[in-house]
Amino acid sequence: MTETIILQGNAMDENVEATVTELAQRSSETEIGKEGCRRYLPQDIVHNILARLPAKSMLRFKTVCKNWRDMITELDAIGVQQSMSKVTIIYRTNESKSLFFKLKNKDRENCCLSLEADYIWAKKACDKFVLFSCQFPASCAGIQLVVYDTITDRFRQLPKIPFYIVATSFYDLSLVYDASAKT
Amino acid sequence: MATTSTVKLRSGDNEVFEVEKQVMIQSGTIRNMIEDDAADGEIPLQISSRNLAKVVEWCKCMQHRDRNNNNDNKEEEEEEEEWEKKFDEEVSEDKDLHFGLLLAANYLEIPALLHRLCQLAADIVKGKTPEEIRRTFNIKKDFTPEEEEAVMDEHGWAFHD
Repeated sequence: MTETIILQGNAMDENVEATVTELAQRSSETEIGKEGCRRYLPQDIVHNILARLPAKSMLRFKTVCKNWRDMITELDAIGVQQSMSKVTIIYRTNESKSLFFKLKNKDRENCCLSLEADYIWAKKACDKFVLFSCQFPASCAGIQLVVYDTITDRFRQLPKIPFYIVATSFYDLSLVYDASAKT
Repeated sequence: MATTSTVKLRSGDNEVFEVEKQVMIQSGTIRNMIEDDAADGEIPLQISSRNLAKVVEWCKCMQHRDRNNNNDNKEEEEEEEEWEKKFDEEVSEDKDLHFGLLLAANYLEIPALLHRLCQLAADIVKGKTPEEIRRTFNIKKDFTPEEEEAVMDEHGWAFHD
């Protein structure tokens, strides 16, 4: 059934009962005002809103109801999958403490991150940034996070995660791009 | 057959809005109807006149902005920014309007408006507690206490400031 037919179908006389299920469903979704306000939003709108939330809010809202829990779990899985498919690790050298990587959908040649670290891992990626985690020699123990900006081709170091946190607690890294934040 | 440059939209409470086609083609739904020559009569929509008026106003503002994109008219630019700020404020403060517009933007397929409204909604709800969310969205909690605890155990850190 095309959009046109549905729209015209909605033009029914007030006395006429809706007989087509789809029609009834469609109009109940969009009908506002008769009983004050209907506060039910269709699933895809809720999905759209949830996808814009910071990670912390998203996880907290897993306890709202089963439907939200399942939607958020799914979003989370998609996010991780998408994020790692954007970066390809070419090779890493422990000698020169460097990591070469390539970004998908970019013509640019291999990028290289070079730090005095024992190991470097690519952890997460979103549209514009890649997050690296670097482990330092025991002397300056801790985890160094580095964000790579794919637009400006620059690296920026984030504050170190001290070793006592790394060693004593479970943690996970996530990278969120907030399009509304002006730089 | 002479094609007119306007479309007539009839709201759920029978108010008719006559709007330029150029403005309303931002709506995928209306654009399809125009392309199929199905937009010559009144187009009945199950959207209240209050919400429809707001949608039309938004579409006009966006079209105006796009048309003037190359102009370097500072004054108009500021005016538009002011209008958008007011729109955001009005929607944020009025939940009925916000929900109504979300449904309307979805139904009429206006991606830019839907994007804006969803972002506003995300900004509003992100600091809320799950209980406040249930009230806002009229959701019934369907977890058993054990199930709820399982989720909270998994993501305990997200529940503290």
